[in-house]
Amino acid sequence: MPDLQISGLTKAFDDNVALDDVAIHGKDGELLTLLGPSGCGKSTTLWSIAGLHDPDRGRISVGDAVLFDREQGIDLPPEARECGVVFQSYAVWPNMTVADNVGYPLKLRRVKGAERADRVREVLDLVELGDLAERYPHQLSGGQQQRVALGRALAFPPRLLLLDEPFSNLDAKLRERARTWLRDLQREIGITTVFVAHDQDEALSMSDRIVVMDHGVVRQVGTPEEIYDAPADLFVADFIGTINLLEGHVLRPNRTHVEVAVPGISDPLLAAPTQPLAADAPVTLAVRPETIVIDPAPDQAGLNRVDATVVDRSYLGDHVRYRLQAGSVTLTVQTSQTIVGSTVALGLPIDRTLAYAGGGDRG
Amino acid sequence: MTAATALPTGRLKHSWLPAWVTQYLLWAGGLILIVGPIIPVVWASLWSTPLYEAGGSLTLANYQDLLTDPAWWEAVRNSVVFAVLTTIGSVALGTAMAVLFTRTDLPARRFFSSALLVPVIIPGLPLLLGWTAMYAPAGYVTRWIDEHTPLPIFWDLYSVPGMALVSIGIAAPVVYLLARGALASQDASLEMAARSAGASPLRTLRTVTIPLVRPALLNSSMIVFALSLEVLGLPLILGTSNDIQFVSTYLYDNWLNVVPSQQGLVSAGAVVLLATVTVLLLIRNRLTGDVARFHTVGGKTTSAATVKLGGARWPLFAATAAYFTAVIVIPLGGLLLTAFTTILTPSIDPWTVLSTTHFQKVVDDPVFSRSITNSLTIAIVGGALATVAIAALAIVAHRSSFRHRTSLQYAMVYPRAMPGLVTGMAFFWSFVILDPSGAIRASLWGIGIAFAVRSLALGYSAFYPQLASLGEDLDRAARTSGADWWTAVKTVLFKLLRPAMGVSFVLLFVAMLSDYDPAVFLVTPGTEVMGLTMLKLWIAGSAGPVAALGVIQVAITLVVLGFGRLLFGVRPGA
Ligand SMILES: Nc1ncnc2c1ncn2[C@@H]1O[C@H](COP(=O)(O)OP(=O)(O)OP(=O)(O)O)[C@@H](O)[C@H]1O
Ligand SMILES: [Mg+2]
Repeated sequence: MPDLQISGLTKAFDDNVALDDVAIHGKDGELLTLLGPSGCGKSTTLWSIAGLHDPDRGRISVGDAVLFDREQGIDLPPEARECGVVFQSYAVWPNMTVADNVGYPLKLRRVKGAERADRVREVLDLVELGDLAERYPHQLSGGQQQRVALGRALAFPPRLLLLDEPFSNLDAKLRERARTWLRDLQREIGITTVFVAHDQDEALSMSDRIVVMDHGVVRQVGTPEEIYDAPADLFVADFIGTINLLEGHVLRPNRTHVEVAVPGISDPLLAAPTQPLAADAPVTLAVRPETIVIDPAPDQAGLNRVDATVVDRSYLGDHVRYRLQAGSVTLTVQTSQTIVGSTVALGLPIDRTLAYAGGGDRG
Repeated sequence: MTAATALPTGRLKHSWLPAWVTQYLLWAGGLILIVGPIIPVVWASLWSTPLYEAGGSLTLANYQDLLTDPAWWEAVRNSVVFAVLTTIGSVALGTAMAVLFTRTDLPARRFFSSALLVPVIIPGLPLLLGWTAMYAPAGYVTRWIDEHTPLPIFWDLYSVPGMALVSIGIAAPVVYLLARGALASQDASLEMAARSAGASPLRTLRTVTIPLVRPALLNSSMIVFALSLEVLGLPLILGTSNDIQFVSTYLYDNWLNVVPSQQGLVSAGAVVLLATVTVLLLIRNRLTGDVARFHTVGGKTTSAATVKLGGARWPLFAATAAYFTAVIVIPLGGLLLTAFTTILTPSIDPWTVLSTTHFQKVVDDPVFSRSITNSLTIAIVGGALATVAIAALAIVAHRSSFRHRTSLQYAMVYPRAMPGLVTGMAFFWSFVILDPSGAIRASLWGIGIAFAVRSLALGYSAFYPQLASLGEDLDRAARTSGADWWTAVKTVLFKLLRPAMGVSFVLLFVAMLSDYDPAVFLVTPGTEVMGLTMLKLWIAGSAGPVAALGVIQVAITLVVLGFGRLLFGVRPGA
């Protein structure tokens, strides 16, 4: 399978810039997820790849095939791009049986008779719909319809598989199952896949790599671990998961650690800089709730120590989430330990307290 | 790959025309048919001689003649008075019916709410004949009241207010339909809020309900007014004996009855009429475009609360029933009696003179029977072709990336603004220019094309909502599966839109079966259609066979609508 190269992709609807110089490289066989707040341009990106939108600028290629290149004047129509697309609404044709839906791309390519029937059966087995070939879409559940859509997208092997929030119409339980199922299927056939994720759990659990977008701009591309543990900027840090953000200014810049004064906390905090920081520069510190250590041993190294009082506590089954007050700063901490009493000592790991330039306004 | 078998290979099928060529062809064809014919009328109105004669030059004389003709201004005055009366009357009546049937506990309101739609469903001309047969000065009811009761006859159908009375009876249901739609979509909790704030039911109606449906009322007023300005059959049938001319009959007479025919003058009049109606409908779009202000916001809509009429309940029921009887039952009875009796007069018991001779005459007389077959042919073939055209054009207009698609969206609704007379004249001049041999006009294609274009907007307004309700992902999925635009349209959209096309065909069939205005200028011996035959022969005094023809037209309409309802769930007023 070839890899996907997108560069300089720009698209404006009237004066609303939906995509601004987007560059994405999807590796061969990888499952790449687009993630970002509503309206950030995920669907626009996907549809530009599929040829359903007409970008203003940029280039899209899959392997040797150029799908779109404004400068060279190449703009293949959707039917020539050979992308299998699964739409959020599934868009299964209600007037055709499951088998006819899946057979449609083959029919268009003059795959006839037994060959077509064999392929349809094979694909239906792949998406586990072998028994339902003669049913009509209205006789299927949401999850089954979605698998018909997937089967149709795969029937004539596409260059790329594109999925736009395919699970958003499924209920929570089914969605979880569908994720694992799709992930396994994608690995099995090894097709390069671009996936618009409905939420971050989906993105984190399924992806080889995640593209975080905001306002038509790519903020970060990385593996789920990279995105979660080392967000490129405050937007990504704040968007993915829960994070404590503390504003302050740099007291002493240092090559490995900066010393930051946070108003409301008496002692300065040490943090890992994500970029060179000058003295007195405003910074925001970001710490994940689950990295904060409760009641650290006195000799444990590499921690900022802070005393805090418990404000409230929510029990979430496998863990507990506390809201704590440290000086005038509120911290969220997630732990499986139980805090006894109302005051507690906290340890913020220096390595995992990231310092980003700028104030709370995460632009 | 887990696949044991080899992966399929194959080359993509392509439509033999690239999508943009198909789209351009459809677009150009649509515009030429819809907007194109206006050009020859304008030309004819600005030309000193008829276009089929050689020579001639550019001139404003036609307009000068028109605007200095006192008869024209007399006709304008009559038309405007008539339109104003019709509008006021039908809006008041239509709104009252909508409120009564959707918001109160009036007995039998369900029955009335569909029964009163009869004038919307059945062709207008036969109903008008029924009215005339019963209520005209020499009509059955008028004479019966005169002879058997001391009641005064306060109406005179052969006057402008009398014609407005008939017209109100026909237009009120249209207003009622629009107002009912607005009331049904309105959140009744707004009314409950007013009630719980201490307002009486009537006060609530007056201060909350009616203001909220004001856009719908404004909208229907403009529509009724514009339609009343161009109405032809009514003044032709009722106005002739007192020599009351409307704009439409002025044009009709100057074309057909004045020697030599004033074709330049009439073309100028048609252009003025078209311009007026177009401006009216543009104003309407302006005014009703601003509807967001009236949209009810928030919350879940609760079902409409019922206003208790109390002591007024039965008197209002009696009034409604009397209205229904007077406006629908008696005229329909009049039509049937005229058709099935040899003579209809209060001095002879109609049951003693029942006969089917009028129907026999319809069958035997070549003009009558030809009108039926012609009308049926036009309605079936024209309706089918127009349905396909509407589907294709609507898809180009709404489901393509075609550059000029918006122009098509406007063009498709424009025929609604074209008075039928103008459409007829537009095609008359177009055929004069494009087909000097007259072959098109001598065949049914001439009238058929004009009727089809005229009903385009109607079919489109039934078709478009269905198209819009089909998610665009359905065609996108076909495209990404490998179908080019036309293949996706053919294999997915057209298939899914079959019911919508069925609905649109039924409505077009019914409209084209009873249409006649455009035929006035286009008819040739051999291409008579039912409506025009009825009109001409009624004026010539042959009431019985005309009524029989009307009964046949109503019967065909009802049968087709019945099937339409069964097969596609067609509803009136779509
Ligand atoms: N057809 C269109 N016409 C005009 N603006 C559009 C159109 N499609 C998208 N946009 C705009 O482009 C921006 C990006 O839209 P897009 O659909 O790509 O967002 P998204 O990331 O998929 O959001 P969501 O998560 O809500 O699906 C939005 O501001 C949207 O309003
Ligand atoms: Mg989207």
